[in-house]
Amino acid sequence: MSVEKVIECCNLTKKFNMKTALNNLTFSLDENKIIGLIGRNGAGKTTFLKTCAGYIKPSAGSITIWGEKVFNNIDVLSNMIFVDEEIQYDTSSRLKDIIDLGKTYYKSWDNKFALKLARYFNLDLNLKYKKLSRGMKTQFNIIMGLSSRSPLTLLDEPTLGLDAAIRKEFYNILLKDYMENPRTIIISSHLLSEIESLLEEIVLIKEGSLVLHESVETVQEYGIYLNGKKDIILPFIQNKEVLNVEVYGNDAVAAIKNDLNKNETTYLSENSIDISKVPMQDVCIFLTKSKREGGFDEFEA
Amino acid sequence: MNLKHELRNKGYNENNIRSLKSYIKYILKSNKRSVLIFSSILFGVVLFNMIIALLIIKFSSSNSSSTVNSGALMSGFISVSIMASVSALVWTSKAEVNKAFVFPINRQIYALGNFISSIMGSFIFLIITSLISIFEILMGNLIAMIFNNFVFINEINMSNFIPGFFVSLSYLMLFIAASYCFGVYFVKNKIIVSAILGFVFILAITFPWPRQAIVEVFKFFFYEKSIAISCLKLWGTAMILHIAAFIPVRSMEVKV
Amino acid sequence: MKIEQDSLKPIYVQIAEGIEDDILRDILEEDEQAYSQNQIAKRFGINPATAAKGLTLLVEDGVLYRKRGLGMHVSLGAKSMIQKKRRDRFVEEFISQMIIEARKLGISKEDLKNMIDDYSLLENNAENTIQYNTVYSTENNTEHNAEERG
Repeated sequence: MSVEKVIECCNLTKKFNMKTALNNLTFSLDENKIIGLIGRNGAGKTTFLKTCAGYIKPSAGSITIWGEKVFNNIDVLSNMIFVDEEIQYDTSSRLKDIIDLGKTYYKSWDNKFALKLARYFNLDLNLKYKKLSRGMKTQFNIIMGLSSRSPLTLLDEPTLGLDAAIRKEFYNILLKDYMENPRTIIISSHLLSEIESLLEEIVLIKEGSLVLHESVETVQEYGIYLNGKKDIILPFIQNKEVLNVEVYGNDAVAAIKNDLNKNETTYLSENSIDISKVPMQDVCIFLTKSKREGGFDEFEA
Repeated sequence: MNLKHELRNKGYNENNIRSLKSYIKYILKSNKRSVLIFSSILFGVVLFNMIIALLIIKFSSSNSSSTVNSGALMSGFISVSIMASVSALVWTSKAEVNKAFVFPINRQIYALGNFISSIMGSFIFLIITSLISIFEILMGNLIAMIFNNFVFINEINMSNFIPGFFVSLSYLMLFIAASYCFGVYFVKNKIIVSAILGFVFILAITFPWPRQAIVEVFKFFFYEKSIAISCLKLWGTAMILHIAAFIPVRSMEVKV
Repeated sequence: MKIEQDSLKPIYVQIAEGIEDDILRDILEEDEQAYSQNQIAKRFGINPATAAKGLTLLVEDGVLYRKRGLGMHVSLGAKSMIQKKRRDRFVEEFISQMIIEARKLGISKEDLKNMIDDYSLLENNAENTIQYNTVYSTENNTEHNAEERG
């Protein structure tokens, strides 16, 4: 069974005046997966998603969706939806009118599902879009995004402004709908720890460049913490791939790439070095920090 | 999902049609409010006119008469022209463009949708104006029958209504196209367009020939005797303007 | 069966082991239907692909097999297969840890052997009843209690 590539980008570059937002991105994504797009603020996640959505054109390189160029391509655009907090619905429209528009524009729109979600979120569909609070706007955006059942669904920070209980329920709804209606869903989020169980793959971006693109299992097993005496740890990590080191007096906590062999594990155990897993969120933080960065304590203004 | 196989097997492109229909529906729905406001104002003005005329008769001691003529059509047309031109201008603003591109739409559909809906919108406005005008005529004649001092002059008859309707539609198309085209270029490059306008304005003040040129343009559109040729000029120019507006739209990026 | 996010073990491995535990406890019987990837995904709120990975692991080991049109089933002899596998791992996972810890505490091999004997005696004398409960209930909502006496 061959899996088709839904997004393929090759040396994708986007420059805004002086700033390079996307820098030679090259990767491809299989269809019908839930993929996490992770990176810091300003890393280029939204720029990438907007390029996928045909809002902006690449400065150099290419991006194809289902093998076709996106920009101005109605066939591709009709099968995708991009949802973010800046989305500009007609502010003086009523919610029910916007939902109606969704129904007319999208072939696979599920109106029953949209109305059910609106009832569940307690959204009065007679309200005008401009009257919504931030949280309600996010909820409405989710309704539009999921009800479209678009084969490619791009969600940029879909949980901004939602409280923890609603976020949890949203993940349930998303997962259930994904299982019943398989499609490609790309989620960009800061709350990696919350969404990591939803994801199948991770694309990690730093300053417009690709840091890694791996299955979520690979990233979950990527790093280990070594916790114990610094006199043991610091020499040990000399020829290891170090993600992060912190020293507290005589102790040290080092995060390194997980490629220990049996002997090394035994050595560490015998020397009372505690080994634990680096949470995926921390792996991403370490891999995307800039060189001169440190904590606030070491910071000199 | 093989797009080519799934979608291009049909004779026409399903996505294009669906998107175009939805976009036109969206434009018409967005303007529903201005249609209602316009209709009520025009209707109100007509009613107001009649009532004032009646009151003058009622409260004046002498045997003076009141005259009302069928002005609804003309005033309606002028207000529509202004309103539609402003709407077309606003439609090219960044905010409105971003709203249009939230849903699946490409730039060709955007341009075509704008063209088609300007025809439909103009048509609807003129129909409403005509209906209010008919109401005005009926009311006018009715009141004139009841009150002796009330005179109603009806300048509209079947032979001048239909050509008048079509000519008004054509002028409306031109005004909308001109505003829309101007708006598109202005949004793209505010500085250059303003500079050109300022330049032309100063030129027109200092030298006589720019003013003459403007008068010639005016004559070209408004002083044509033959209706057929006039409509040709108007529609032709409107289409050229829409095509000219499409050129910057083609490569336009949607930025918030 | 439960998932620990912080464990060193990846989630799909935890799922595989959880299913193995259910087989060992006779909650899942041989040649009967096991869990589907969607069932597991829904229960734990995880991506079905992760659940599928866990199931695939077991298929590769021969513990589960895919019955045409009917989904995952428990292989014949799966229980003994799992016991043997776990026994082989027992040395690595538990015994080596124990020896390392013993060495740290300065416990000699003799002392260690004595400790084990003493503990077994303790276990036999006390009448300990340990109850196993499964957190995971199948679609028919059956829960099994197993009693073990020391």
